[in-house]
Amino acid sequence: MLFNSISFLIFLPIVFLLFWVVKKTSVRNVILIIASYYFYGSWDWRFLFLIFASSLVDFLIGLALNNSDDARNKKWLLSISMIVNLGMLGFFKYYNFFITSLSEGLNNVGLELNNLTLQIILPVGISFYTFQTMSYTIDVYNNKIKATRDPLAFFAYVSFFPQLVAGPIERATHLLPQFIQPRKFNYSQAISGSKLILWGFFKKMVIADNCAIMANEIFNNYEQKGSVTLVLGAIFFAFQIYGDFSGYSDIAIGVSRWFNISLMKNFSLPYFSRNIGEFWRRWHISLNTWFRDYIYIPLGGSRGSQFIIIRNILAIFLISGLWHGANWTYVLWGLINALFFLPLLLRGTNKKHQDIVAHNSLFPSIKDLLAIKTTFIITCFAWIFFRSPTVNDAFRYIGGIASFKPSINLAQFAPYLFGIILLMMIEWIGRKKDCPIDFNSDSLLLKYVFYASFVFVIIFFGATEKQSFIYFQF
Amino acid sequence: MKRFLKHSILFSSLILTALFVADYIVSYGLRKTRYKEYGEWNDIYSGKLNTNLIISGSSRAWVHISPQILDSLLPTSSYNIGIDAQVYDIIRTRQAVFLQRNPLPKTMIISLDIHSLTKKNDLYHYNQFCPYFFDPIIKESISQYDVFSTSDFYIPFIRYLRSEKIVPLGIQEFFSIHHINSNGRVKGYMGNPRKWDNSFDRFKTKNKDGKKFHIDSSQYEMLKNDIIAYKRKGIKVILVYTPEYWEIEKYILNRNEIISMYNQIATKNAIPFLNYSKHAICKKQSLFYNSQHLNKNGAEQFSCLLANDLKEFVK
Repeated sequence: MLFNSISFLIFLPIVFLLFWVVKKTSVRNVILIIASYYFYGSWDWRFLFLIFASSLVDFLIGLALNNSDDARNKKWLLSISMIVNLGMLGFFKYYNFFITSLSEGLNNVGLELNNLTLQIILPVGISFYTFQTMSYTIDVYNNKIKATRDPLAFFAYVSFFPQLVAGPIERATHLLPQFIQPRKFNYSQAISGSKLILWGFFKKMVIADNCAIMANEIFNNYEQKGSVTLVLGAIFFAFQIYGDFSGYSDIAIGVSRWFNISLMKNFSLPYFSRNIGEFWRRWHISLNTWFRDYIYIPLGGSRGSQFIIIRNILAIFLISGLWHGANWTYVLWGLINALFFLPLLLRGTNKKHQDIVAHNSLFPSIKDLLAIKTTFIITCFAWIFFRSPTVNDAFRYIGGIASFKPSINLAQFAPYLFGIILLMMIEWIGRKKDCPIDFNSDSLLLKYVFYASFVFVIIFFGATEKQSFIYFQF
Repeated sequence: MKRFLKHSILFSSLILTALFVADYIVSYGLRKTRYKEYGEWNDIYSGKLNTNLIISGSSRAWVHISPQILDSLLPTSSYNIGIDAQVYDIIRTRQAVFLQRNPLPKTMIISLDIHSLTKKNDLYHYNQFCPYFFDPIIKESISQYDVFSTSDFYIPFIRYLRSEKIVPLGIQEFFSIHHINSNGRVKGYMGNPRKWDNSFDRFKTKNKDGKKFHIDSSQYEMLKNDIIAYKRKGIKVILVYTPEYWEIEKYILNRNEIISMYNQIATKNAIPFLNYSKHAICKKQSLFYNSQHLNKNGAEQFSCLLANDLKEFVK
């Protein structure tokens, strides 16, 4: 079920009303579990058992970890959780990739491996919910959280429908207690959630889906395009993926607020970043902090020799690349980001720019503006690898840009570029707000007119060809 | 909670009302225009087509049979409800709307061809259905196609969003800013003055070994049942296979099979089947603009020929 579908328009109010009509927390959790399983099952009910299995294993292991004082035993229990979750992820997402890569590698040294690839369907959202369940078990193992004895709360935590298939990837420390505590309807939360939903739909339907038309056209026919068109193709993809994924996250956060459940912020104006370090603090925050907390820090983080630091950074960026998809293009995308990030880390400037740009002024300084532009160019360069079907295609695409071949029809791109400029302007004006379209006025009528106009912008300028959310495939 | 629900309902109502108004304006405007296909749909929906004979079918009815010529040679008044690039399920939708809204004709010509009983996935010029979208006959028929989404059927105005050009047209017509009063068609017929193009050469290159058209059983059943139903209503049904350029015969592997199937339907229901698939007119390339369509000159010659053959049935 897509957020931008008529089924969701019917599904959400029904779940919302049922949830608040009942008073008992446990019954509310049952409603959320049923709704979430229905939401997921409407794609492919066969994979519901994976969510169920992942939830059950980690729930039981959590309890066992709680009851065990033996360090060796605890390690074993943690290993079982990792094997089950990473095994599922590895099989469904990476089996064919590793087999194909191994086979190609062996071919290069003259050995032959019979075709062992399988017809495997990638279950939607598997990378998201497995990471969420793993974080719970790791946190219980590290005594950061006590294992819950409430299976309903735990199953609701794993399967909570707004963020089940494309995040934000929540931590048990933050989300799980919200399913255990009794909760009351919060009017201001619900209103702010509605604004975020609206903003998310704008980013998805007006920006991402329209940019997708251009990005697909340019990337699919890059050999016939001129240099400037190819540059624009990368920019369109940058905004497609941003609008698509951050739009989804905003809708997920907004919908959760209707249930008075708070989810973590997943995007924080990443294209206003002044260096790649700041970009990674603002882009897919829930995944990057996951990698930081569960891989980077346990590996030693930025403590230790330069070799250790470089190794750790390369590890998380390469894993992050691979997390996005079983293709060398993603690995290379991760590597490029790592290569731009490492100098910052080694110079100790990676934590610079904690506040949003022009925090105390209306406009950025020339220096900041140049820094934003440079960071955006680096990001777009890396996106070329992310979007291209193969590494060869990515290099040929870049070759096309470097060929300085003229030919461009600017008029064709003008409306799409206008959309991007509009997005950036709204984000700039609302950069200090929770939601950029938060409109303050004492007049209810004015507010209604403002938000209704926004709905009409989405209806009239949203792309008519519905595109699936990009991150579902991850 | 109540406050939130109140605002949600109010806000949604505001949006829905605005969409209803926009839908009404554009639909009403398009019901006034004579732009392209809207002209004939509007004639049919007006309920004022008091004719004795209707000509139904695809473009091979629409550009082949001139009601003006039939009217001049036969003691009848006729109207052509042929609809471009459609197969039988949409052709019968047009028949159904006509019969529901207008006085029953005495005779109905159903023009059939090699495509008539095939299944199509795309709905050609789908926006022609938008102004009358919620007519149960139209709704049922077009919902078989994938063109429209669920939201098109349940949220007002959404169906117009894919058709950027017709929204301004509907608005202009509604407010009488600009009115299109002719689509170049006369009583539903439009003669095409084009000369022979190269599309048939492309077809031949693409289908060197010929092509087979798959007859869809549901389309076949619909045709059979409709003929029975029309006969029950007292409508005389005449099947016609209008001329097509002779060379096509070699390339359509099951052409004879399809034509003999039409023949069988006619025999079984005791209705005439006027078959011009091998008529001398088919040999004259100058009368066609492509293998399937006669040009204006060809269509007018054919209409005279048809009128002559119809004399014994239309009295």
